[in-house]
Amino acid sequence: MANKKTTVIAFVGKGGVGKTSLSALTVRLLSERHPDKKILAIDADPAVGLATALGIEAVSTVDDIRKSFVQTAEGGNTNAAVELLGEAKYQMIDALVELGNISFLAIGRPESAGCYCKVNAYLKEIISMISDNFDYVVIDGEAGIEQVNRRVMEKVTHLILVSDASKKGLQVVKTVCRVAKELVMFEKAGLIINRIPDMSLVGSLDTGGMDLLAVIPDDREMALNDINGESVFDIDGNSAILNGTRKALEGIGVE
Amino acid sequence: MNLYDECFSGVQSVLEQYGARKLEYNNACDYPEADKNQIIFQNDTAYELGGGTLPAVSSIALTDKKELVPRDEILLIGRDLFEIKENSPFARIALIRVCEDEMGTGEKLYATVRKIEYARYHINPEGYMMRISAFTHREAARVGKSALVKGISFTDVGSLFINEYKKNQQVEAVKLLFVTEPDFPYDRLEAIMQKSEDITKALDHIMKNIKMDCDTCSLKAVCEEVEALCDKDFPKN
Repeated sequence: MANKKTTVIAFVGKGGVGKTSLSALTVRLLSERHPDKKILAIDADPAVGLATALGIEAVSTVDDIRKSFVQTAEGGNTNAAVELLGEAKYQMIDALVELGNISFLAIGRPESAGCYCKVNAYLKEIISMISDNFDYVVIDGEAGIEQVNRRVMEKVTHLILVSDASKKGLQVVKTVCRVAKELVMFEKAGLIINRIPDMSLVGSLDTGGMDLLAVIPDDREMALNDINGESVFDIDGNSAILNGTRKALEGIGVE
Repeated sequence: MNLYDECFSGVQSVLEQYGARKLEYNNACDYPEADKNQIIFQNDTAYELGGGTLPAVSSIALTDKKELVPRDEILLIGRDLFEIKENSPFARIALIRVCEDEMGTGEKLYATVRKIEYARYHINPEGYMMRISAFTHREAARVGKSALVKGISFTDVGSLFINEYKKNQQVEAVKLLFVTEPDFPYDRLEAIMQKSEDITKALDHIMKNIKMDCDTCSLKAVCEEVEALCDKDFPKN
């Protein structure tokens, strides 16, 4: 596994555009398509909605681990780097929730005030190390690519920008795309426009030259699924949002 | 070097009471090592040693006395890896003979003890994933289903451990004890070996020369004992 390349798919965009649903549906599609492959779902959104969307109960987050490190350090317990790395690996594996071929890891809330760069660097190292053991990593990102870069991992192979049809939403993804080109290494990027109320609007949207992977109409079934707190595995296989996700993954070259 | 002698006598009394079988030590062990980032997932796990709330004791103690660690050997109380069918309690104790002249004094002594201890972070037998917590002093291990098919044993894992310890020039011989016996006083062994950890910590504590109120320090008793032993072992001219 160590020599094999992991496909890392990150969903980014402004809040409320459906990143979590699309991330969860991607996990579902990959899991169904490749029952023999290992998939890691990383919830990098502080709201921790991906767990609910996948029907998983998160036990602890990376931030919980970070806090316990900081408390230990502040308590005067200075451990060697090798011990800290061993500890982080131990706790991170405990924080992984496994469900068949899917594993889930929640990042938790953003860093609080204070510089704990050393601890953050250890944790990032461990997340990268854990990711190497998976065939696919799907990241439900925060509303900015800087956080993905800083807090989760250095390398994303497939960057999927998500927006609704609003001018503000499209402006955010353009900015994120520009920043991502400077901060994050990625091989392919593309745009999903989600929750579009009227498909006739598609032609008039300014996508800033980004590769348009899919346009997904406002999906009532997905909305009901959200309201009822059900998992994406309950969504109909022919629903508009699932078909849109499938089309986007094909468009960006994720097999 | 008498620092850890009490731990040796404590472990010896446990060994005499419970008996241990000797396993072959193979200094040319060719059991494959995995990538250092090996993860064994729950689905691929046959069982855990010291998982969950089960005991997971691990420690080292050092001596320079040949009679305490005459040769490299692997001892086992309980079932071997290929005989275990379910999650089990676990202990792994390394009793190590060192060349006292090579150990150094002061900070160097502390650093050398820790360096020898850290050997455990450098071995990764394929299908045997250690889960080491320096904070809680636990060392559990997940054993993969595929490793059982390959016939993994404590001979393999123990030989890799001993070979790794011996990469330190100070290490002359290692007596490695594994325990998987369910009916075993793990708490007693843990208490004996906690003393070893306290001694190592106190070595660092002394060398840091922190000014503090010794009357309220929890390490005071250990500190005084270690200081006395240091004076005896490493007399100042």
